[in-house]
Amino acid sequence: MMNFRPLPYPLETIQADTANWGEAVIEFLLSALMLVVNLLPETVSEPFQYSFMQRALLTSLIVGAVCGVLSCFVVLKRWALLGDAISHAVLPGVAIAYLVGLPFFIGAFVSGALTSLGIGAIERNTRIKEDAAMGIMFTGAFALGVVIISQIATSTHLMHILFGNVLGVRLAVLQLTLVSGIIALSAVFFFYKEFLLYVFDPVQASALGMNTAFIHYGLMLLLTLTIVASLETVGIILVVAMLVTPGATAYLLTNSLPRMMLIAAGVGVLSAIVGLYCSFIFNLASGGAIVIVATVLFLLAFLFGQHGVLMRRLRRRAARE
Amino acid sequence: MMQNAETTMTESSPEGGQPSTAPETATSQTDPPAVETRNVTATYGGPPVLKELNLAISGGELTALIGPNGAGKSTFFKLLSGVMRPVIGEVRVFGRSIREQRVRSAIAYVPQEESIDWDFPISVRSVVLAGRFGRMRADGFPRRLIPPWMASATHRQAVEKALEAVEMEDLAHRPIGALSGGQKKRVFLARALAQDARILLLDEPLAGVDSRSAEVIFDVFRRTRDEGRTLLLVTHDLASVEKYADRAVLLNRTVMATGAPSKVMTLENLARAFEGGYIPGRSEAAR
Repeated sequence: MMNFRPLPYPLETIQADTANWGEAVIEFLLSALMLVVNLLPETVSEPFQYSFMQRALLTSLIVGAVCGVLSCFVVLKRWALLGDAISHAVLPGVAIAYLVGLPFFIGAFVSGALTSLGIGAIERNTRIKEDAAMGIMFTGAFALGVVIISQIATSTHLMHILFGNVLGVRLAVLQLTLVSGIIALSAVFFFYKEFLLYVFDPVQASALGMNTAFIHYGLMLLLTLTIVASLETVGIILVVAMLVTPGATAYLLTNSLPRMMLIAAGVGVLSAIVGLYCSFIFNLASGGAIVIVATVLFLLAFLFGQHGVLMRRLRRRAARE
Repeated sequence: MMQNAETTMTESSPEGGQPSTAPETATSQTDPPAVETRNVTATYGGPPVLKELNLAISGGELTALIGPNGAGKSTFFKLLSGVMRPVIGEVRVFGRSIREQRVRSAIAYVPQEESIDWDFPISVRSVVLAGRFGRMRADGFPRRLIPPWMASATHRQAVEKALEAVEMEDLAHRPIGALSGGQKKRVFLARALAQDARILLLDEPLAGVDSRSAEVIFDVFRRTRDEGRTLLLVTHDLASVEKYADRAVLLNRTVMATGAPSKVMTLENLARAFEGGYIPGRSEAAR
């Protein structure tokens, strides 16, 4: 199942293979990554001599960075529950795509997007509020997914979707993760003004002629894209952790949104790397390991951060004296 | 403190102001009014909050919108900022549709304190820079995609000028959560100034403001108005309306009275609009 090829490939083989650009880009990124990894002490770099570990590392890096950046919006817009809803709603899409032989990516994206639209429709057209609308839609979709999958696939397959399988990431999936990561990050960069104002002060966004409905659904679609890209790494159940914890950690450390995004991306990447490494060394479930590292980083920020409990105590004491 | 409503607008700009940035003054009678509503009805799904509203607010003046809670003052601002659209009727700003004026950054909005998340990780300067986002988007492709921290010198200068106008340049790096009530108001006023809008919508701009900030804010009002801009403010503080407003509009789901503050705020009018309820600052007289 896993092949233990020695890497990095010499650059020439990559240039020769112009037939597949995507693979060439991935191979190039892997070689670049390995240049850095090989600078580390051997005990650290040793697990990454396996090509499946290299792919897992690159996937985790992309997912950590993209989730980190997006998590800032999730935290500030109070969309944690929405992230959870979309991630669960992705399951029937994955199952149906598997049935009809489409890439699971497309199915997941469609069902995630449909569910978020459905939540909006219930909320706008009835007296049911947002949290209940989410509860209905995502559990319904998730149940549908579980039922379909139990009919067509083995339980290991279901477990991989639910909890991720970063050590078994295929090249095609890695390519898609890379592409969606690039789309998500460039969208945030180029439409930063729109997203910032929509999250901070939607009335002003509207007064300046921005189409807030468009920004709302744009942000939701980006979230869906990111969730789908993260499925293989941490799985459906835990992806929401990557979309909340890094942002929440960074929120306790800074007062500037661009810096918060950088820190959150850093937290995401660090948790991905450390979690992956621990999962290899101690033979742990990789998704779980990644999320535990992120949670530990959050606890550190909670205790020692600029806006953490200790600093708050100190400030209160200083104010009293 | 403020000029009388009857005084004509001076063509020359005030000391230090730049005439080039001031919008065209709406002095001649052929110009369309700053805000014009024709038969506007607005609702949140239930009974109409605004019903058959017909109103013309002239440009270059400070107009105070007064009325009891639930009179539709905030709804009126929502119509003007494009958050909400009327079910029936039409709202025009300087003769154009709201949509057109929004894209031109003609409408600036200064929010109430409660509608802002003061824990948001953003500095004073970044908030003011957000006032330029409409202008930055109008820079055209591909420059409209440039993130704010790479904004061009024109936009940066407008931000610094606005910060100076509200005397907040020393606190520009502060996170907004670390400001006093009056400073918070001034930051968002600066955002509206940086936007270089023709009409400013101010929602309770003087609520909970210390006297020092109130002075700065009044000063900005006067200068902004003297540049030919239109100021529209919602207030509960009826006592001070006569002091600074050129016009008053008494609202309760529809226009109850409009004109000079002293003419609008008669006991009879107020009692009618407030329907015998509590009139802030005037309660003892009304009963």
